[in-house]
Amino acid sequence: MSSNLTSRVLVPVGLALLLMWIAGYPLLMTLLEAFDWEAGPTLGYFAEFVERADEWQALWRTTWISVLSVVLSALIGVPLAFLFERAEFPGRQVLGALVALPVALPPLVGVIAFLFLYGESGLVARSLQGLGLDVSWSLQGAGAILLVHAYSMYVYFYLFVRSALARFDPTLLEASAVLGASRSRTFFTVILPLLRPALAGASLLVFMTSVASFSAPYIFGGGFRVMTTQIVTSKLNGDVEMARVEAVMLAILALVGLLILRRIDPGWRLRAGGRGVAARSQVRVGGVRRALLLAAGWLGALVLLLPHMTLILISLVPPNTWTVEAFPPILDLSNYGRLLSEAERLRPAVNSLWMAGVATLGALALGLFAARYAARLESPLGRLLEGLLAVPWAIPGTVFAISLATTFSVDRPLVGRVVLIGTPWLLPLAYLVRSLPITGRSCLAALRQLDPTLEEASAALGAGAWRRLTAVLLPILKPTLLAGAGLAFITTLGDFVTSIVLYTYETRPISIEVLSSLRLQEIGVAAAYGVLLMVLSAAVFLVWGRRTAL
Amino acid sequence: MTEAVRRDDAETAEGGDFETALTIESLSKSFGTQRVLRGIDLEVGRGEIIALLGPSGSGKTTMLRLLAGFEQPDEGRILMEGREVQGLAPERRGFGLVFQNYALFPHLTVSENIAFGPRSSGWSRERTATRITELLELVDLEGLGERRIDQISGGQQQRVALARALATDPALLMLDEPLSNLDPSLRERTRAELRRAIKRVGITTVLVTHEQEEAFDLGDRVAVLDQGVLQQVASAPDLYESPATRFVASFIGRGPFLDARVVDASPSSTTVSTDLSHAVEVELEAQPGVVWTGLADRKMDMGAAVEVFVRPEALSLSAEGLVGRVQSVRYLGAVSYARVVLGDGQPDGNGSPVVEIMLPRAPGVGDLVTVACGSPLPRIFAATGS
Repeated sequence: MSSNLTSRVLVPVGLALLLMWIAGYPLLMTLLEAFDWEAGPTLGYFAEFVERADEWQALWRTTWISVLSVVLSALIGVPLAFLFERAEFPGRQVLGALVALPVALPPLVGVIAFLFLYGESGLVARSLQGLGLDVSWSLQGAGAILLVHAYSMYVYFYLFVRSALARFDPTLLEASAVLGASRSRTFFTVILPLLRPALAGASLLVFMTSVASFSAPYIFGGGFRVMTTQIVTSKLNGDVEMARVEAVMLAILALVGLLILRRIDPGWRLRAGGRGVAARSQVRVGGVRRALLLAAGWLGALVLLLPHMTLILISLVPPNTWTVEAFPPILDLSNYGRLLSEAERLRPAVNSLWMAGVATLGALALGLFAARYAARLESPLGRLLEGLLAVPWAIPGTVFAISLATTFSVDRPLVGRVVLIGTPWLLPLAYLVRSLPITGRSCLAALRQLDPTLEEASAALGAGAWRRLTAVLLPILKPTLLAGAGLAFITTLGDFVTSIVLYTYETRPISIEVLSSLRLQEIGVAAAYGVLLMVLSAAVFLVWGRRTAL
Repeated sequence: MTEAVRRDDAETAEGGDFETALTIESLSKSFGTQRVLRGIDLEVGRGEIIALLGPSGSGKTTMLRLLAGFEQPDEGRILMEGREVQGLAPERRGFGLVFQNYALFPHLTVSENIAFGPRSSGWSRERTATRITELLELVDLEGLGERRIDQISGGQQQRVALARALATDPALLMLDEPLSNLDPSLRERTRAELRRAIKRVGITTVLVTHEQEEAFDLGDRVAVLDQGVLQQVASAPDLYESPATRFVASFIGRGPFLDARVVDASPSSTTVSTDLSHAVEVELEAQPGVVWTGLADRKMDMGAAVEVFVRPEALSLSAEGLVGRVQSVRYLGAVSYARVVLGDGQPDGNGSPVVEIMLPRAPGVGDLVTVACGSPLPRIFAATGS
């Protein structure tokens, strides 16, 4: 009976307290300090926020940029999903996988790839000038941010809608046709409503990502400030109080968006068709239409993959060799050589690797155990664990970074606050917390799908708790664990938004080095770092993509 | 439940070839306000196969889960070879269980699945390997040890599940609807193989099923459960011929309940079982004047309202008896079943009792017939309505 008490109460309560300490408590501290709770609660900082027009402007910009990002991403992602899922043309499978790649690309890498391609002195501008066209433009402001968002976030719509279409029972369309509905009526009354869960899910993801987006506004925003850049600017200017208030406001915006968008989700999910369902219906067309589809597919994929290719190209350009030519005259591996041979340049890669490794392992262990109890306990405690695993997902990374910096800058162990700021441990902790939703929620989903009789069978065969975990659960969950860990690892490896608030010189990660290389006009080195991240991400994503069986 | 619940298992077990191995004493279990099992008493002999038979929701699966240790009883005891097990975790009971969906580990091979229990119990590799060979031979799967679970058929999976459950020589084997995942065409053959394998091992076995045929084929005795109450534990012929309760009578096989009144309650020696020692003569309400002889498990008062349960094969067409009109005929080849509406032969049988008669030759639909009652003698129950 006492072991029952331990496993049903003590361990999950301990886990919940730990998760609350690292994922909930910092947010609470930030909220309290935004009101300057200890000196006597005051609305002074909020009053200042309300009075400043630039703050309101940033909040409003974040809102409409995010809404427009959802619309633009849907406009690209949904047609692509239909194209690749419903039409049959040569190269469909390879292109279909490639088109999904930007999802795994660290945002900062995507942003600089865009800069190198479409920027003022990017490949496109140079090519046009090389053709004798006198064109010049500036890739700045809201338009540039939206472009980058649409480019990197359409993937959510693409993946969600494509997977919904793949599960779509084609007999529904046949039924609709038999019942006399025209094709457009079928689309609006059958297909679209059935895609609602997918569209709702993708909208939510794009909105949340966009609200939290930092790299694009930071690089392309210029004077166009959104909330995330506003927070970091306040923090860097030493106005910590205002940074906290801004963080609270951004968190509120994210949560309001979350609540509104969740209402769009009808709550049900498309299941794979039942018995006797025909293979998925694909439109086989011939002649001109087939050629057009083929061209559209390849062209679309090319446009979407161009930034990646540009990044690879730029990484091969030795310093100071590309001046006025349309195309770089010399290509070699010298940037990679410098990256690997100079200790100071290698340092950020080593930093990122160990910090991401430690954070991923921690998030994996914590996420697995919390998910195990969340799946098993049908009590408020179980739901609390599940909620705590989701918190870091709902709160923008900048807000979390500010919160951790606030909480762990004071030495008061009795209230759970210790000084971690300035030590090498704060950034890995931040990475760990940010990775928890990825590892924890994938474990939770897998555990819920797991046949409970498998665990009962192992118990009936005499296996104790430890053997059930190591001989049954872990081997069966291995694909999920690896996928979750891989995704957490690459996300952390390329992290920029948390790092820029919390890094020290000793712990500076790859993203910070990319940024300083850019500032020093060492674009080749920056690109080489970017390619490094991209290759790692692509490798993990391709493994992950196959596991989740699109 | 106004009827007495008969518990004749003790006599049968002692009278049979089995010494008691498993004892279940006044086992009760509720989920919330729902009482799933109510005071179950059952003894299972060593090497005996008991089939728990009941409709869905009768509590048979809960009983299996209590035996296995996945649920804890609210009241009562479970003793295996005299040792109480109800406080023990599943992994400490040393029982074997075959799950309805088999619950085979998808990440392990056939041999590795079978080896799971022995390795959990700390057996050496050599001993485990020897055991695997024995078991693969027992369930007729030699040569398939290295296959993955998704590379073998459903029938083979069922046998792997059996082998896995038997691997550590458990004291008790439990099977949860062992054949329900198989094609109907496969079931009959698998049933025979399953019983042969269990009997070869000689293990005490409790299996759960909702199919009468499966229970009769597999079980040495059948325990019928309804609404959490054990209705009767008996051999298949006893269940069929001497049902202890109305529920058993109607759940096992088929037949109507006819209202009647006791006209002669003098004891008689015409008995088919020790439990149905009271012969009773009753007059059927449907047609006063027609008197049948039936058997009851207790003394009945003169004039008491009763219900007569009669099997289709006990009825025949004859010169005198109940008058009725043939409503429909089901032709099954060797025999036919005729539904006869009793009474004055109005074509609309609304409200009139209907009996079913098994006949070698079918009468015509609409024919006026006279029905007599022979053997097996009808079963007389005290009326439920009164």
